[in-house]
Amino acid sequence: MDADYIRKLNIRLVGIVTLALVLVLSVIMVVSLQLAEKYVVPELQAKALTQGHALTTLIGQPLSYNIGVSELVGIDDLFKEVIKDNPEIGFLAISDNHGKTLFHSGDSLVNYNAYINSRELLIETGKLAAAGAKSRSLSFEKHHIASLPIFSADHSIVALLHIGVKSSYVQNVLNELLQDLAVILVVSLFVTYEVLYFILGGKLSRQFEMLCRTIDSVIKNDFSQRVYHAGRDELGRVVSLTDSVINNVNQRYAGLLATAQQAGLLPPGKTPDDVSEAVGIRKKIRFGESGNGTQSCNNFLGTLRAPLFLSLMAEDLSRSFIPLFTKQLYEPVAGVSDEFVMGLPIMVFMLLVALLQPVLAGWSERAGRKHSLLVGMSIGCFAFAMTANAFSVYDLLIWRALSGVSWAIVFVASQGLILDKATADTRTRDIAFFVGVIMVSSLCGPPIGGILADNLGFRATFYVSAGLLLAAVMVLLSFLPGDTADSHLESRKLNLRDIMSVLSNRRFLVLILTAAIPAKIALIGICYYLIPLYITSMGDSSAMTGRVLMLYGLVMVIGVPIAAGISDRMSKRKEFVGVGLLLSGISGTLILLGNNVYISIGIVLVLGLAQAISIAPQTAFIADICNEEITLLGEGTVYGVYRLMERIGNFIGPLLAALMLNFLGFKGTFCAIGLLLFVSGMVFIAVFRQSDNCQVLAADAKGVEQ
Amino acid sequence: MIGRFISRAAVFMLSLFAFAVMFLFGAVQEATAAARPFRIYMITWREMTDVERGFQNYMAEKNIPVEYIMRHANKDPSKLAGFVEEIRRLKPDLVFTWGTTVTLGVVGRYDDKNKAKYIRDIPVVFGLVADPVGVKIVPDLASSKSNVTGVYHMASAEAIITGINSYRRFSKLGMLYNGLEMNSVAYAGDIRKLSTKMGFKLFERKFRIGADGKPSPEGVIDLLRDLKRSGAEWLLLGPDSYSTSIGDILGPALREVGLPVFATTEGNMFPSGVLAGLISKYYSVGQFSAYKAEQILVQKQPAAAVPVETLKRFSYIIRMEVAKELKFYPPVSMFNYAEIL
Repeated sequence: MDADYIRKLNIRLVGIVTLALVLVLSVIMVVSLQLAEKYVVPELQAKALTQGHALTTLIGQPLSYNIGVSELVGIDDLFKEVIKDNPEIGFLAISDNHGKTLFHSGDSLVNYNAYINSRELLIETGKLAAAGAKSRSLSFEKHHIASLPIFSADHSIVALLHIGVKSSYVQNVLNELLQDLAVILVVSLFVTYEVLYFILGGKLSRQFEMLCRTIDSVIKNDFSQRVYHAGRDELGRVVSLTDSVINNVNQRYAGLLATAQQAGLLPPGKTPDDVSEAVGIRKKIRFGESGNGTQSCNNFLGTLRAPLFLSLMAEDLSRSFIPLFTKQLYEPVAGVSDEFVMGLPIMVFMLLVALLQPVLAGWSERAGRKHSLLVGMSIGCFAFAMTANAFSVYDLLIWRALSGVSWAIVFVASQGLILDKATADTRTRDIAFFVGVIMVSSLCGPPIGGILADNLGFRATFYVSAGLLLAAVMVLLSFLPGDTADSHLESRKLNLRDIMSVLSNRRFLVLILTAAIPAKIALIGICYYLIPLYITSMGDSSAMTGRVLMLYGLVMVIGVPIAAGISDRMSKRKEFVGVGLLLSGISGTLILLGNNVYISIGIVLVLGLAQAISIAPQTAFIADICNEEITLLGEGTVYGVYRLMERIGNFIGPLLAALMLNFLGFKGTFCAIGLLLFVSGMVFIAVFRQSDNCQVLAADAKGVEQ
Repeated sequence: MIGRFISRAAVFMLSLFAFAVMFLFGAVQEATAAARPFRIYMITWREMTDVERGFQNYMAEKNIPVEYIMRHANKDPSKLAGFVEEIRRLKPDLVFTWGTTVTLGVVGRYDDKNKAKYIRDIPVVFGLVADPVGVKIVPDLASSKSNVTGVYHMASAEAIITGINSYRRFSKLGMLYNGLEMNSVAYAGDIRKLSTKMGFKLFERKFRIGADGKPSPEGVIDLLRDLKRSGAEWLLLGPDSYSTSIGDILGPALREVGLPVFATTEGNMFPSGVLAGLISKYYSVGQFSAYKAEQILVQKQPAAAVPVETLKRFSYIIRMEVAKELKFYPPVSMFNYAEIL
């Protein structure tokens, strides 16, 4: 039986589901766009009319004191304010009943002068007004113009108010909608995969795998394996049949030996085993029950996936607007810049995550993984509910700190659980699963959070996060089996001596200082702090920020496995790291090309590509340069130190960006971070090239000596 | 839907609660009232104004029985010492004073050493004092630390200047006031300070002083013409009692010179040539003063525990007839909030 059967089945299922989803969502997209077009346009016109009516009523007041229309004061200021508050209004104008434009604000009237000052329009509007209609409207290429009568004290029409609604605004609204729908399409695809994994990746694929393995062993004359499945479904029946066939063979063999013994066919003093050993059966065929076969089929990974995804998603929802939410709560404090305060919640979160992770590893092991997951998620649920009710920056910081604690616990406990359960041959795959969930959540969270924030508000979105964590707790309680003491790895706690000894490896230290920390500074400083502020500073929505951040996740999800594969095959890890750093540097300097949302998309895409290229090779490179330390202290310790050091960058990123933003503005800050990364990349390349040359030289020298 | 239901339910519960509290308070008040009406000694500067009417109506609406002893100073500060004597003799439950001069005559400055001259044992509530801290009636708005509290009625100088600017931007401002009135002088000082901060030029003129040492309306028109010649775009009338008292002379003079006038008190809206003003209504000031008196008499709070406050909202008044005469119309958006006379 083909061992790849399950994988193929998976791929086919995912393919079919993707196709079905894309089809259904595309239909929904087309239908909703049509509906939107049908309803948005009249809605906007109605809004403009309401606005117009309020204006004519207000303007009518001074007229009722017999002030002439041309004598009105402050119309320009009034118009400017209305246009500022209503982005769909392109222009406002007043024309008198002699065909003269008295007041005008906003877009040019060049193409409309003839229309708005025409006698016909005045007469027509007058007739409509007499018949009880409020306005007369006509659509032009760029504007939809509604004209409303302005009455004097004696109720005669003395002027017309013209409101020009931008046609492009409707297009903008529809574009926004289209983008939101596209985001929902992408996110629902990934969520569907998550659900598929939850079901497929669970029992089914594990049992198929066990069945295949057992049948494979039987083919190789090994009758010691069993599948062990207690289910009563079709698969269960196949499994129990297989198991009973194997049991049957074993029983027959035992019966054969027993009969032989009873019949006295065995030489005196020999057991049946000795005989079969002597005849060579033992070498060719294995009987009995081997310990390997008693593997538990309990699929903890499939069960962990959903709650882990939910709790990571809860945190990722607010990525696109945390600095903006902070800005809303912020009341200026003398001596502290706004930019710094807006970065504070991210800093506090990252600092706690960095500091707590090493401390929590031991605790979660003692307390039990499930128990710690429950504690972590409950804390998070509480923290988000409180964030939703935050009344000042100070208490917001407390709740963000609690969220940091929650995130660190969930991260450490899940990682611990995976490592506990993983066997040597599943370890890489299980870790990849863990990283996969993190990436998919970072892909789905920000855009969905952005859409939620735009439509429900920041606070409601925090409630959604709290709800997600509550759901995670529920899933965990009902599906994840209780804690068992089946840890495969005796985990060591990081101590200062270990850290110092790993850091004393100069190549490791260079990697940390020139690659690991700068990469995190770029990621957190740019993606989590600068991009949300930059995009909204140009008047775009949180949803737009979310979409842009989703691109980062998308590039990572697709790019990381590809880059990892290529770099391993070419065994050019440090080259990949170097190129990644240089690319990160370039991403920051893209800001020099302009000042619009496309530039921010470019920055995020290039940064994502850079990180995708370097992230896996960088981790693998540690093993290359820390051979000695890994032999001495173990892989876990070395990687523990690496993660700890790397997280310093998570904290420095927003701090540095916030401080620089205050002095340099957006352009300067993006460039400065880009420059930092570029210089780091150059140093990294220079150092490792030199050290390689030294090694080659040293090897040559050795060769000469020999 | 549910949110609306909850908020409605909350409002309903709150109103029930408020109703219960009011009912209880009412019962307590009635119980105390049955014993004896409160005696309030009320001193005005000239005659009964809307302030006293607001005060008395508030008390009546709250069913607080009060017996008023009304005294008018008839613009003569020398009468105040006699009133103080009478207060000592009659021992009322509370004294109400109208305006800065009367209040100072009854309670004196808080740092005045000669305490025997003033009322320091009976609670005094003042109304219509422009700047109680500036003229040293109280050291601090939060608490007088003595037997005095009350209501001041002026919007801040910044709010006044912003109010004028929102009618029409200006760079030169004129002021005409009585140099013998303490609060007028203090107010002119405030505006002077603001002129450098907010970047406008201030021209000050004072009413001439007659042979009797009192201000005189003589030459008012020359003073106004002089201000207009120097380029003043507006004339600001501060909390000046004298301007109010000569409204019938000042009004026609203002109309003749044609200078837009902005008033800061309801009293100064009287001269017929005044164009606009940002004021607190005398009636509301009276009601708010009565509320303070209620806190002292009914709720038995010491006057020092009742803060000196002003109204939360001021009225922007525009006199359209003057605007038309001057052809100086308010901006359209002002019709959204201003009260047009």
